[in-house]
Amino acid sequence: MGLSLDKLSIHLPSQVLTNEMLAKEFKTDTADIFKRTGIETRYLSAKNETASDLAYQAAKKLLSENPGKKIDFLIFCSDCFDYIAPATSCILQDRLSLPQNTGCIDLPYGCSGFVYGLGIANGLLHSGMAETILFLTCDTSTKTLHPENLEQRSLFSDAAVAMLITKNNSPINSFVFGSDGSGALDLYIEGSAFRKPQDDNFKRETGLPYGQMVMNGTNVFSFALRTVPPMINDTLKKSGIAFDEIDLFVFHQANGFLLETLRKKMNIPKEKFYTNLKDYGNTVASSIPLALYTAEQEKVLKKGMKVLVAGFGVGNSWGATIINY
Amino acid sequence: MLLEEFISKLEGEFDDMPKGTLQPDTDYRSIKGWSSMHALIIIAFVDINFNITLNGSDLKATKTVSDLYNLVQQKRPA
Repeated sequence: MGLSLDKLSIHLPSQVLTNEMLAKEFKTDTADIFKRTGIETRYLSAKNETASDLAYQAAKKLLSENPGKKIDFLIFCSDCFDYIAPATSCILQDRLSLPQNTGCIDLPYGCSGFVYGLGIANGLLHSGMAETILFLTCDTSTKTLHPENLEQRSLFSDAAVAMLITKNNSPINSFVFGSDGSGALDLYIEGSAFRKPQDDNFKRETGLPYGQMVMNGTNVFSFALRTVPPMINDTLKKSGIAFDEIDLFVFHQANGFLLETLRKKMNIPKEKFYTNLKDYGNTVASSIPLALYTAEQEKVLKKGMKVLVAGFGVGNSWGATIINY
Repeated sequence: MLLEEFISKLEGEFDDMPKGTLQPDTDYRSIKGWSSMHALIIIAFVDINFNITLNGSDLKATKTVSDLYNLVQQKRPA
């Protein structure tokens, strides 16, 4: 038995950030921003709007569209929780009026988090601990970007996705996961917790109350080129599925140049390589499920397709699986 | 791949770069409009053409186009 992921809802913040707005602010041109990122539009959470607020809206919509579902577990994947403790998933259980016998798990992962969440859901479903899982992804990484950092502000975007995961009759999913913590500080949020708390200088210089994203873009790029192709090969091998049998490849929507380089390196045909980066930006943990949602809306993704999903990034961590959609 | 071909192909990766801009002794970071994007273009070029993934430290150890070429040669499997 595999897992079924055929019910998704999304919620986007109302504020957008376009290339025109960035070009005006940074006195550059829109074509240059697009060339560097492959992105035209990003979404920004409002000042007092948290990741759980956005995830709540996506979940409320999903549950109203699928009434009567008994949720056994709620998994909330984010790098932007309400508190260090308690788990934000517990807060969401109450806000969503889910029964008190709902298990709640926070999953503090970013770009690879969707696949890690699927892996945990798979384990819960196949161990008999759950029949239906509400899986939520959302980050508000734009709140951690320095206002003068064009590279980061032109990439990142906020969005929430809510999904219902159940068992189905397709073959059991094989997962590939990995980590390389030696690159942990190539992409992290400085001044966000106990290891490197904020001091007065940090607060004065950044004005970022939740911490500041620090990214070594060159190393993150190299990490992805080094890690993703073998991960894809391992996933195919473990699943016993040939490369040509995959109907659609949906990778973490990191940035346009990286995705195109990976596609070329792995000889993935353009028509099988879905991206929605242009219209949504890099939404961290939500990027893969958001891409699944828009691919379905655009009728690129259809029932019965074999979809290889691959997440990679902050950690450094990575994960991939094949969904029988 | 010989140095001349390496240079010619690398020039082709940069938009609007006139032929002959890069020479073996060109400090590639001094080329007009150099940005972090160019570093990614170099990493992607080497990766796709030589199946060698350079990282930030590798690039830092090089200055000229010739250094870059020699680094790739060193990293190629014997």
